[in-house]
Parts: sequence; structure tokens; C-alpha cells
Amino acid sequence: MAVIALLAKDDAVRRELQLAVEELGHRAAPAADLKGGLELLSAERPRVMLVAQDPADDVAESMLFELEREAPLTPVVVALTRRSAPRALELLKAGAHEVVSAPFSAQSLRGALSKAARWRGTWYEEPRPAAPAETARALGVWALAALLLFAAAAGGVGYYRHRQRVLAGAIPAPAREWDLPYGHAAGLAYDGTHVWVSDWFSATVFRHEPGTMRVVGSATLPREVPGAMAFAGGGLLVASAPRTIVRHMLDEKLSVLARTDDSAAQSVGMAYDGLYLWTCDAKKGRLYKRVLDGDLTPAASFAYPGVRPAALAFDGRRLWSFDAGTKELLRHDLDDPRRVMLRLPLAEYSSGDWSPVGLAYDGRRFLSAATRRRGGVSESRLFAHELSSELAESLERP
Amino acid sequence: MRLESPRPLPALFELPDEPERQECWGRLLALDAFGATLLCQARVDKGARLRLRFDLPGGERIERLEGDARAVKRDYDGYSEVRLLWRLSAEKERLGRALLHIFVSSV
Repeated sequence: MAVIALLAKDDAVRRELQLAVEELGHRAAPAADLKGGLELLSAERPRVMLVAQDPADDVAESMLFELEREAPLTPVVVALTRRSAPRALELLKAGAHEVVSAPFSAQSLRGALSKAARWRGTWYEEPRPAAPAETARALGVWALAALLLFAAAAGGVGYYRHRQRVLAGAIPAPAREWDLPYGHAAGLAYDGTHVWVSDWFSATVFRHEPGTMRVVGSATLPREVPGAMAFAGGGLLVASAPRTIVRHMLDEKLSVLARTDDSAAQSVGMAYDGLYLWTCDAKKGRLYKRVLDGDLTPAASFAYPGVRPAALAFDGRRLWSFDAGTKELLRHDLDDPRRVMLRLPLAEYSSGDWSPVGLAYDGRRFLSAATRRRGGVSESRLFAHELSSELAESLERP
Repeated sequence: MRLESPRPLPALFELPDEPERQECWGRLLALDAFGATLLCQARVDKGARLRLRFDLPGGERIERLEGDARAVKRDYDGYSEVRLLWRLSAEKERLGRALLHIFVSSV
């Protein structure tokens, strides 16, 4: 708060200015004439002299003349009761610190009085913060710049990592996993609505809801040791030890339709591409392409291009296998499955704890079933392997 | 060349592109042959054109000198600090000569 000497001949103007000054938090010391104003200098020691006058008057110049002798460092702010730019220029040239014009209000006086109250005889003033709007704008600019810098850095790091992964030929996907309530999973299939898992020890096929993987149904196959599974020809094909493939109806009990001796060795993986049934033999390391007739006649067989096939799946366009030796998913050329078109390492298998037993594709991600033995107890787990958008797009391309 | 004055030079200005606005006043914190820094209570936007009138030390009057507001800062007191760049005109040439004359006579 500063003391502002207020010199105004007109009572109404003086009251108006006094209200405005006090509204700004200063104390106004009013005077009606030059003599009274000069008396205030010694009585009140005002920080600023505010002189109101008509442009035609010269009381401000008289005050400036007197102040030159009495208090040369007291700034004079002139309040013109009528706006007159030429007169304002004259007053400024005569030594007024600032000139303001009617109408008077706290708002119109704030800047001039604030500057005058801080004036110490020089126009070099200590730095003050910028106007709030400018400060906010500056902060906004800095925040935006920081955000852009951060985004650019994050993007750069992300792009670098992506390039590294692409160069390494692999785009590992984050996996979700569920422990299964049974310990001897042996096969996996997806029918479009549910995930099916076979458990050889309990001779049961379990049906899981694909979101939470909770069990929503099961069917026991008392005369089978179920392993690999595939949906084909309106039924469920289950490879059963020893060397049998059983066709089941898709009813509640999975009633048996037919049993076929497996002419090849024990099939550990099975997938149906809409025309042929594909099976794989882990011991011989071969892939079989079978006609879906009564004997599931092998139309062709191919040497497996990986180490040890553990499961097969069909994504709608390509055949995939799970190589238990390298812990990779292999995408095969359907015309010649010895040609591997893509290898996809699965990090969750890299520790070697889990052995893959089943593979399925649900339209947007791969699902795999695995088992492990710990402390003499077998455990089963389901993994969901989300695909990166680039890979998912590439799978859609012919 | 640079000369310092104990008191910023008072100046009047108008905005030719806004004829409805009345003539305003302010002070020139810096002045040279290419531009000036004007401190004024009136709000001035960046890019505005100003037409100035002021008296140089020694009494020479500069009138109708036009400049463009290249940068504007609003300080805490609500004043605009306007960086002006003079437009090409005969008045600009006259200002340059007058400033040179002031400089030469003061050294």
C-alpha cells in the first residue's frame, strides 16, 4: 500500500479518483488546490502525486515546477478530465510520469499508479513478472515444447526398438496366461466361439470361454487318451493314443462317429485348412497332408523345416506350427510347407519351463497350451499371444 | 551509435488501420534509424501499423513516421512494450539524419 497524494479542484473528480485509488489498496491523501497538495508532501510523504485537471488548466505544470524543488523524485501522474493527446504529450514532455484520461476507474489507474509507485528516479526498473496472460502463454509454450520433445524422444525410442525387433526377425507380443485346473493338457482347438483343450490324464475335453478362459463345459472320452484336436467336417477330430484319430459329433457328450487307425506315427499336432487335414509327427519330424476321407489318407508328407513340431494351427490363410525345439511359431507355405515364411519367437517359452502341446488361432491372436512338471506335479497353462498391428495386417494380406 | 537519455521520449501515435481509435501516447524506450521500442498503456497487437509523432531532443519534430509492430509484450502493469520497425518513407530517412546529427553533436 502506498500513499497517493490526490490533487483535484473539482469535488466530484476528487471523490471519483479517491474511490479508485482506495479500491487499488492505496491510501489517498486528497487536496483541493496546489497549496494543499504541497502541504501533503511534508505531512504525508506521498509516493505518488496524482493531479487531476482539465487539459486547458496548468496546475500539473505548476506542481511539477514546485516538486522540482521540493521532492524531485516524486512522480506525477496527471489525470486529464477530458482526453487530449496533444496535451498529454505536452505534460509528458514537461516531466509528468504518466498521463491518464477520463473515465477514471481502478482498472484505468492501476498500471500507471503501479509503475509510478515503483519509480525511483530512473526508468531502469527491476524486472517484474510478465502479465499473467503472458506467463500462462509462456508456460503453455514450454509445456507444449516439453511434451513434443518427450513425444519425439518416446517415438524415437519406440521406433528404434521396433526396428531392432524387425531386424531381429521377431516381434514378440505381450502374452496373457491362465493356469488351467487340470495338469495334463495335450491339445488345443478353437471353434469360433470357445477354446477347447484336451487333457490326456483325465481323458476329458474342456470347453473354455475365450475371454476369461473359465471352463464352461467338458466331455469325458472314456476310451481315449486325447491329444491333438481340430475341427473339421462338422465334427471334432481328436488324435488319441495309441495311433488313432477319432471323429466326434459336436454334441454335449462328443459322441464318437468313427475311429481311424493313424497310418502315420502318433500325431501331436492337427489343423484343418478347409480342404486338407494337416498332422505332424514329432518323432519322425514330418508334416502330413491328409484327405478328409474315411481313412484320412495322407496325400503328401513333408520333412518338418524346424526342429521338433509340437502343434499345428491354421489362421485362415496359412499353416502354422509350433517348433518345440526353437520355441518359435513357424508360418508355412501351404503349397510347400518346407518353406518357412515367418518365424515368431515366443518369449514366454524361452525359459524352457513350459512345453507346448497345442496351438490355435482365434482371429486376432494365437493361443497356446503348455505343460510343465514341477515337484512331480504336472501343470497346464494357456497363453494368449497378442500380435502387433503390423503382423496382424500382414496376416490379413494374401 | 548509441545515446542514452535520462527520460524516455514521449510520443503520440495513431493506428491508421483502426481509424475509430483515438490518438494514444507512450514513451520511446529505445530509438534508432531502423525502429524503436515503445511503451504505452494502449493495447497494441502484433502486426499493427503505427503512425508516430514525437519531438527529438533539440526540438526537431518527427511526424507521420510509420512502423510495424514486430513484437509486443504485455507487462505486469498491463503496458504494451512494442518493438517497431520503421517502414520505408522520407520521414524515416529524415529521422536517420536527425539521429546522426544528434550523435555527432554530442561527441
